[in-house]
Amino acid sequence: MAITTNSLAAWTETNETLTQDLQSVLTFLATAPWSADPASPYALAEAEQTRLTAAIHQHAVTGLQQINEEIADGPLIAEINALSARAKQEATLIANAVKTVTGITRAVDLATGVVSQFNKLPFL
Amino acid sequence: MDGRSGGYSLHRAARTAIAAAILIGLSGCATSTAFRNSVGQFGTLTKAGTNAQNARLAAIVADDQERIRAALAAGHVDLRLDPTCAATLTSQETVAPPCRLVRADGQALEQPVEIDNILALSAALGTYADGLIALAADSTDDQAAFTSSINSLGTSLGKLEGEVRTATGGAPGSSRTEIGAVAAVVAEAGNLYFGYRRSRALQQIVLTGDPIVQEAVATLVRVQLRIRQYDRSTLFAQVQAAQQRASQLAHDPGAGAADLRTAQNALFTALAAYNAAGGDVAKYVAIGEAHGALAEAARAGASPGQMAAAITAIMHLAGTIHDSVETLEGDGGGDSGSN
Repeated sequence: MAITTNSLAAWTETNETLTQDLQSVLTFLATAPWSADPASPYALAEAEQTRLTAAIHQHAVTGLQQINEEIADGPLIAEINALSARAKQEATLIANAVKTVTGITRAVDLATGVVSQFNKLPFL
Repeated sequence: MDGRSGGYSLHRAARTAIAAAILIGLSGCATSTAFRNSVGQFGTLTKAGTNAQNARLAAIVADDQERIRAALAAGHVDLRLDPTCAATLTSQETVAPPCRLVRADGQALEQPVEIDNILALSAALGTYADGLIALAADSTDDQAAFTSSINSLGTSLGKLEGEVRTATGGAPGSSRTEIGAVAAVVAEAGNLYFGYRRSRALQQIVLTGDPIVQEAVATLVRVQLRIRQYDRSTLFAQVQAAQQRASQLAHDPGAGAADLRTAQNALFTALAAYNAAGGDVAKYVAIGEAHGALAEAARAGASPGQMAAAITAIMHLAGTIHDSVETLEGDGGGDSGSN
């Protein structure tokens, strides 16, 4: 599913609505007369704040899911991987310089051996 | 070519090599070393940060799965095998498809939150950090190997030159010594060049990568904000429960002051835990700032001022990551100790 700015905006809007609803309930609870009666406005408001907090908790998970889908639809991972490949390639290139010099040395040693054998030939 | 012209040629090569070494050395070797060190530290700290976030995400997925399973059991939901499970049993595909469950009432079975792409992004940033670490790594061993291989080449060239002289009947000369001297300078110049090349490559990669890293970091900051909302809402529910208990006791004529004091202390503790949670977002902001400082240093040719700014940003990053790792280890070590 493609995630667009609209769905991000929708997530933010829902988050704000939940926040405002919770704030309204907390405003009421801050000064409302305490009551143990489950049917009282106080107890109903307590139940509502619990429900809203759980909704905010679950909405965070929805937000994570949304970001997960957004990443899948974007080029970000491929772009970072390309950078990593470049960094590693450069590091390997430098490390290989030693191997190149060692290879040249081997070639020179080989040539020295040939010339040395050449010098040992009796007709020279 | 006689021995004298060969010697002249070698001296000229030596001078060129020395000039190249000085030129490269003057082009900012000291700041390049500092730049490489800062980049390496950035890489290490970024990996630590993303690892901490991944651990938290994995815990959230486990929580979410637990919530779903608890709801299924609480609702007496009847779970059945998806008919496609038959095909999974006899599948000839390389990767066998999974068998899934379905609800007997036909409703969709809720799945836990998926975070695979967030983890992939985090891993990509970690791999990028690895690449920077590899490129910025302490090159002492490489330098020693290169110097040794150049010296071996010098020795081999000296031997070859001696054999050629023997073959052509030339008089013994001092070329072997000169070749050795040039080899030493070439080794030094080569190592300086590699150091310069490392720094140059790092600077280019950091500059090219900065907008991408900033976007990745912005995404991970949003992830962290969701994690913070998730964690803080759990703590807020504990504050609410503690507040409700304290209010109840405050209106209970039978409750003593000591009981109320205990309940209110629990409320104060829960509130303190809630207010203390949520500093982790700063860590991800710090990753972006540290990379931005490195990019600024790279753009400015790593001047001492820019390097100081980059190092300050990385030190800030180190501090925030250290704190959050400690918090994470503390969380994993047992209960919060709030009772």
